[in-house]
Amino acid sequence: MKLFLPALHVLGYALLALAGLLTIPLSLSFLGQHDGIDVFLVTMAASLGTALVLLWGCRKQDRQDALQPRQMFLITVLVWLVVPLYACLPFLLMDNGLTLTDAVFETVSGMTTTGSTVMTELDHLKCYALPIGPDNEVDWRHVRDLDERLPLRVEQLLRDSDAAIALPSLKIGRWLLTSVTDGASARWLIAVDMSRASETNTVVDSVSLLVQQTRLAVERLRLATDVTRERVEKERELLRSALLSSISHDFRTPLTSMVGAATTLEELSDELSAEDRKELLESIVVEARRLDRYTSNLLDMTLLGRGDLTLDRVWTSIDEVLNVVRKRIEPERGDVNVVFEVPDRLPQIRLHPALIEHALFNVLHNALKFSGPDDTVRLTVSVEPDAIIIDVSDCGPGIPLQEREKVFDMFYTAGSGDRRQAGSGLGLAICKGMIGAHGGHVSIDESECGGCLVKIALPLHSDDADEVPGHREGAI
Amino acid sequence: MSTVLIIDDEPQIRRFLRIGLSAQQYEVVEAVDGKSGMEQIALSSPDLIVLDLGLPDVDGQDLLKEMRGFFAGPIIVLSVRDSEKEKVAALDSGANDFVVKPFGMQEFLARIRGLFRTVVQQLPASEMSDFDDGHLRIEPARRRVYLNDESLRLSRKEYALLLLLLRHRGRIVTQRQILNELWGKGHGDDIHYVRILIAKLRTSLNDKAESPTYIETEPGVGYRFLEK
Repeated sequence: MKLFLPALHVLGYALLALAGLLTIPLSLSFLGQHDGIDVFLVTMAASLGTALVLLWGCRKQDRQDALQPRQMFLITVLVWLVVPLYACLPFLLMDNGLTLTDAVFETVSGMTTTGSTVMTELDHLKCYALPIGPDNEVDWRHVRDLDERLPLRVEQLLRDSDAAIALPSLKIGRWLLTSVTDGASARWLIAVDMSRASETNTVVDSVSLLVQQTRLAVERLRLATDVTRERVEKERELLRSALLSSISHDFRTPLTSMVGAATTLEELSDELSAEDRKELLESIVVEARRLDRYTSNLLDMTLLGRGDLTLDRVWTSIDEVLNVVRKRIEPERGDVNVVFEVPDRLPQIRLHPALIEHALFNVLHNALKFSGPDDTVRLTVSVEPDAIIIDVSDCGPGIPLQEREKVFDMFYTAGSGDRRQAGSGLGLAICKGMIGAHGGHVSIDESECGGCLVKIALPLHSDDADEVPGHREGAI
Repeated sequence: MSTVLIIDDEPQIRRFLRIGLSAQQYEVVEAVDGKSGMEQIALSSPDLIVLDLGLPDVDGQDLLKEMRGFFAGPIIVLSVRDSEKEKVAALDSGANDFVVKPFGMQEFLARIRGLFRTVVQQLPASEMSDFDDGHLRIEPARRRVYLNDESLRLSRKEYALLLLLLRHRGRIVTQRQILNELWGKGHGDDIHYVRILIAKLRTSLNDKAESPTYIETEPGVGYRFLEK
């Protein structure tokens, strides 16, 4: 085969080379609007024409000079396939659009939640997304190698024109600038440091892609925030209605008994036996106590919820607290046996006695509520190296595995809906809140007799052990 | 002696109801939930039922409808103040009256007495006994109404309304009940007819809505002819 090629061949190859060179910028201009497969198909169609011209040119030549039909076929196929592949190279080398969007989304969401500046690398160029404030001010603090003229010029730009809403891409010094907005209030200035850019065109296109994706990301972020806000609002609404129904049920029931009993005493006193009168008075006292319990529970919960609860901790021994709990639970226990198992030697612990007492009372009261006559409610204290464990067990119906987390929710009562047990559903929520405030935790398990076991762990060494009890120092 | 069945899951409420009712010589039977309530209806065949709408095992409204299948006597419902809807629904489901928690014993006993006067409703007007409290005198047999000894001229509808309320003395009569009785079933939602007629009747009786002597409004539910 001769090395010399006829003029038409040379022209053909030259055209082919030119087309090949042109496809890269051509395909890059598609970047962001089309995906790789589009460009591949388009360039395939385009190069088919070139290949056919070439083929036709070869056939017209003197047969001896010309390439063999097989070679011609090979070249044609090569041209037809290699050029499109070459054109698609930028797409293959770049991350695909979706992951880039996710990356941008993450950075933008990080930025909007923290309100800080975000810097990413784009084709090895530093790229900043700077939040634009309500008065068109931009925080430049985090931008490295900032030339002083830039902020002045940008601020003037933002002030002067509609650019404040959507700044078109423009180049100031080595900076390429553009802006994105979520269509509502939030805006960002995108600044790309072009000092290391080799191929301006590529970067401009990449930036426009970035802007486009940022816009999408911001929009997504805004929707996501809206959804979150809606959900929070909904939860608050649920809580509010739970609170209202709790007040309506748990406060009015004892009030009804009290008013009923008192008016019976007042209006029918002549017709009542001494025994009836005593019973009614007793009822009033019992219900007043119940009302008091609900009230303090509700108050506690409000305090816990607002984070207003200050922990005035003192060094004490848990058995002192338990003594108060025992006294408080005695009138409530009815026919249920309450057994306290407390070891003789207990380490000192730093806690808020009233809160812990309240938490323990709630747990015990719960256990009593689900116990039948002559059942036993057991409170067992044990000491571990770094915590005091208080177990409260009953032999009631127990709590199914899937509900064990939910019982700590506010206003949740076992068997909710119409099957409410008498109770505000605050007891365990308060217990968890108060134990949690002490750095401890509460969990639910099954007791030996199939009932409910509430396990409370109170850490012995609290984090802020700023004061050490005197008698401890003496012991060392 | 009449038997009263109390269906309520709250022991303290059952307790004072039992004591109060027993003191008035009623026989009292108690049930803690809907299921045992239904059993007690069958076992002790009460004359009247006191039903708490918020029971642990069943929806009170459903229970009411179920009871009405085989219990014809009066049912009084214990309800909470802030739900007119609940009251209306209960009355529609077959309850005869309600008391709002918290309530006094006197009020409760008055309602019970009102409910036991069931027989009066069934009587034709000609056989109803006269009503006389010293100021207002109603003579159903002669279709005459006197206020402070002066004969009152009531329109036909006003008189029908007064008689309807009187028949249910001490008990709630719902707006819908009044509509059905006086205008017929075609006037489903024309509650304002009732309001206008009540206002006219009150003017005739010289009764004031804010401090009624005879006709009391249960807002959103209906009207009640007060017992002395």
